[in-house]
Amino acid sequence: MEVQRSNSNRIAWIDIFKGIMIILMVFGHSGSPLTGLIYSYHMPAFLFISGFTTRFEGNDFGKFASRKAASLMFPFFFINGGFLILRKALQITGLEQVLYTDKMSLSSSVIGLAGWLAPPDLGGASWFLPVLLFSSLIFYVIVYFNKTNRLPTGFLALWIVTIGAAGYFLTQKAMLQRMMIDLSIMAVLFVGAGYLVSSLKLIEQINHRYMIPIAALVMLFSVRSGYSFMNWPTRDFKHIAWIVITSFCGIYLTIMFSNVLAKWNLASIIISFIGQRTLAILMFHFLGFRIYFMLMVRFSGASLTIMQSLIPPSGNHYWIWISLFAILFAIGVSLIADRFKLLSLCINGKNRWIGANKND
Amino acid sequence: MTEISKNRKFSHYFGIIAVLGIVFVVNSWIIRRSNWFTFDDFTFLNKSMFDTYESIFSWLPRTRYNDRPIGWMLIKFLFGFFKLDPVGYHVVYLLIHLLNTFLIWRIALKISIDIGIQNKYLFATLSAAFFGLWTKSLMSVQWISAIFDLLGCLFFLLIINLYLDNRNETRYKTFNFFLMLLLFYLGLRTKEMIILTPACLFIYEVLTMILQWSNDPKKRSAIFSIKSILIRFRSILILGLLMVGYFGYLFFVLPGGGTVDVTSPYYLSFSPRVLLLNAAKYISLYFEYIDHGFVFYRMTPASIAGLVITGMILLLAVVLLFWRKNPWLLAGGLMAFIMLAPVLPMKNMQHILYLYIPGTLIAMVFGGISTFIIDRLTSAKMRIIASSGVVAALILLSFTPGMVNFRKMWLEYCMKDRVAMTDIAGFNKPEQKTTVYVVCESEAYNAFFYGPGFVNTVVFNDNSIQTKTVLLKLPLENEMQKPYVIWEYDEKTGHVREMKQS
Repeated sequence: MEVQRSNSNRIAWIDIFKGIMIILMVFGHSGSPLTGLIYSYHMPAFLFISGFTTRFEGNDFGKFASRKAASLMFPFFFINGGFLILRKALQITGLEQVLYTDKMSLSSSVIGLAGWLAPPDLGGASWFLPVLLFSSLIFYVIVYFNKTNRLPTGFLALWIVTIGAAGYFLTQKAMLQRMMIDLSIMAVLFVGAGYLVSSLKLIEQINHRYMIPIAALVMLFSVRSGYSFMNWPTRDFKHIAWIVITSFCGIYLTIMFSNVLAKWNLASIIISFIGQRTLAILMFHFLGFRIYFMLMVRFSGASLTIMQSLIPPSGNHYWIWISLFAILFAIGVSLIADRFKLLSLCINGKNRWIGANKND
Repeated sequence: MTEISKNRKFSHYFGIIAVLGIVFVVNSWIIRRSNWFTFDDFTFLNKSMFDTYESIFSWLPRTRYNDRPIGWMLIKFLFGFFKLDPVGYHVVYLLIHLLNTFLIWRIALKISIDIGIQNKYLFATLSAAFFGLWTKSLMSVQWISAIFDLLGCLFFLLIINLYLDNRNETRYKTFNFFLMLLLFYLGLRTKEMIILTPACLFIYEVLTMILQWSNDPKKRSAIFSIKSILIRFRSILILGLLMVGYFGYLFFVLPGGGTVDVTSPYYLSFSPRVLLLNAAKYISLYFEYIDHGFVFYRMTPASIAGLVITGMILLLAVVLLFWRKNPWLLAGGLMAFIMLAPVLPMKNMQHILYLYIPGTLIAMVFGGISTFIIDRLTSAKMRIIASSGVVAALILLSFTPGMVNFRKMWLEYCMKDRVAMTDIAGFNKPEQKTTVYVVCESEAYNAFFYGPGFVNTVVFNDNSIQTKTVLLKLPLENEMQKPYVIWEYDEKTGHVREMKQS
C-alpha cells in the first residue's frame, strides 16, 4: 500500500482515517441512521490508530508518560473544568433550569472530575482520553518487557489478547470501573493491535481481493444482527470475539477507504484537516449540539425542552446539519486556540514549546 | 495496451461473461414469484423468525448430522431483508450460483497448465458452462432450504482458488493460508460433504509432483526430499488434521449413532458393493433428463446412456494415463468421486441435491474433454462453432422432458403452498395458544406438513399456535384442545377454508 505524505512527516491516509472516524463519531451522537454501523467499531478504531502511530519502543517511561499525559490530560482537565465553570455560571444567572433538569453540585463535580476522571455532560465523550492514556502506558510497559526479554514482536499478540480479554472480563463483572481502569485494560487489545499492524506491516500482507468483500459482509451482518453494538462508557458489550471481528473489519475497510480518498485532492485536504482536529471535535461537539438546539428554539420554533437534551433524539431529520455545525464549531475553537501556545496545549493537546508534527 | 492485446483480453473474458449471462437467463425461472416457499422452507422461516443467532450458532456441532449453523444463519440474515417474499432469497441464491460458476472458470484457468491444456480460456469457459448450465444438478439453487449445498460449494471453490493462488504466487501466502483454514471450518459448519476437500488437494499435489519428476528425472531427490514434501504439503497437512479432527469429533465424541432402520433414507451402509452401486445411481441421476424426480428410483435410457458415457470416459482416462502419461482425466473423475463419497453410504437415498458439489469437478472433466476435441479442429471458425454448439446443447438440456416436468412438478408444489399461505394470511389472527385443526384428505405433503404448522406460526408471527393435521375426521369436541379453529385443506388446489372456531 503506497504511503502518501501530506506535509513533512504526516501520512495522508492516517489523517483521513481520523477525519472519517471523528465525523462518524459525531454522526453517531447526532441520532443518525448510521449509528448502528458507527457504534460497531468507532471506539476500537480510535484506539487502533493511536497504537498505529505511537512509538512505544523508547527506554524512558517517564518521558513517554509525561508527553502522553500532557497531550491528553491537559485538554481533559482544562476543557472539562471550563464546562463546570460554565455550568456554575448558568446556575448563578438562573439559566441552569432552562438547560438542565437537575441542579449541579460544583464540589462533587470537581471531585468527580479530579478524583475519578468523571467528566461533566458537555465533555461526556472525553472519557476516551484517560482510557487512551492508561492503555498506552500499559502497552508501553508490555513492549518494554518484551524488548528486555528479547521476545519476538509477535509475542505481543499473546499479551494484548490476554490483557484485552481480562479487561473485557472486568467490564462484564463491573470491577475496577473507577477511573475507567477496566476499559483501559480492555483498550490495550486495540492499541496493541494498531502497533502490531504498523510494526509488522500487516496491511501489506492482506489479500485485499478477498478481504474487502469478507469485511463488508461481516459489517453488514453485524449491523443487521445488532451483535456488534457496543457502548464503552456504559460497558454494554456483546461477545468479545464478535466485537474483535467486527472492529477489525470496520477498521480495515476504513483504512482502505482512506487510501482511496487520499488520491482525491479536495476530499483528502478537507478530511485530513478535520482529522488533525479530532481532539477539539471530541471535546466540543456536545457544546456545539447545545448551541444548535438554542438556534433551533430561536429560529425554527423548536420546543424549549430540546435545550435540555445532550444529544438529538434518534431518527431526527436534522442530524447531518447539527453534526456539520458541531464539527465546524469545534474546528473554530481549535483554530482560535492554535494562535496561543498555552491554549494550544490546553485545548488541542499540542505542545508547541517542544514541537510535534507527527500523526499522533 | 496495444489494440491487439486489448482485443485478445476482451476475447478472453467474453466467454465467461457470455456464459454467466446465459446461466442467468436459463435459470431465471428461479427468481419468479411462482417459485414460492415449499417443503422445509417453512421450518427455516420459523427458525429465522423465532430463534436467535446465539441459539442457532455453536462453534462445534451438537449433533452428528445436520448441524449446519452457517447456512441457517444466512437464511435468518436474508429473512431480515426479505421476510416472507421468496424472490429476494432466490435472487441471492442465483447470484451465489453465478459466483460459483465464475470460480470454476478461475480454477480451470489456474490448473490448465498443470494438466496440459493449452487453450486455457476455452477450457475454463466450457468448464464454467458445464457447471452453470447442467440443470440436473442445480436443485440447490432453486430451493431456499438447500442453501447448505450452494454455500458449501462456494466455500469449497474458494478454498481451491486460494490453494492454487498459494501454489502459483508468492504474495499473501500467510493470509491465504489462514483464510483457507477459516473457509474450511465455515464450510464444515455449512455442509459436511466438503470434509474430503483436503483429499482432493492431496491428489492434485501428488500428481503434479509425480509429473514434475517424470518430466525431469534428475530432480528426483530435490522433489522427493523430506523438506520439499513438507513445504509442498504443509497446508494440506493442516487442513487434513482439521478434517480428521472434525470427523473424529462427529463420530467418536458426539453421542448417538446412525439409524438402524434399514428402510430409512438415512440408513448407512459401508459395504463396497453398496458404495459402487450408489455411485452408479448418482451417475444415472446426473444424466437423468427423462425422469423428473428428486431421487433415483429407476434406470431410463438417459441414465443408461450416462453410465455408458462414464464408462467410455473411464476407458479414455486409462488410455491417456498409460499412453500419454496424462493422469488428469482419471484424477478429475477420482476427485469427483471423493467429493461424492460422504453421501454414498446412504443406501436408500440418492438425491439430486448432492450432485451440486461434485458437479464442479465433473464439469471440469467435461470441459477438458470438450476442449481436447475442439482444439483438434483445424480452423478457428470451426472451433467457435463447436464451442457454441456445446453451450447450445447445454442450454437445450433445460428443455428436456425431465427438466420441463421437474420444473412443472416443483412449481405445482410451490403454487399450492402459496395459495395456502395467501388464504391463511387472509384469516383473522387466532388468539395465542390456539390449536389449529386442519382437515386433510390424505397424508400427502401439504403446507402444514413441516412443524407441523410452521406456515401458521410464520404467517401470524406467533409461535404459540399449535397445528394438528387430521385425516378426514375430526376428534370429538371434548377431545379438542381449546381454544381451537378448524380449517379444511383442499389437496387439489391448495386452498384453505375456515370451518369453525371454538
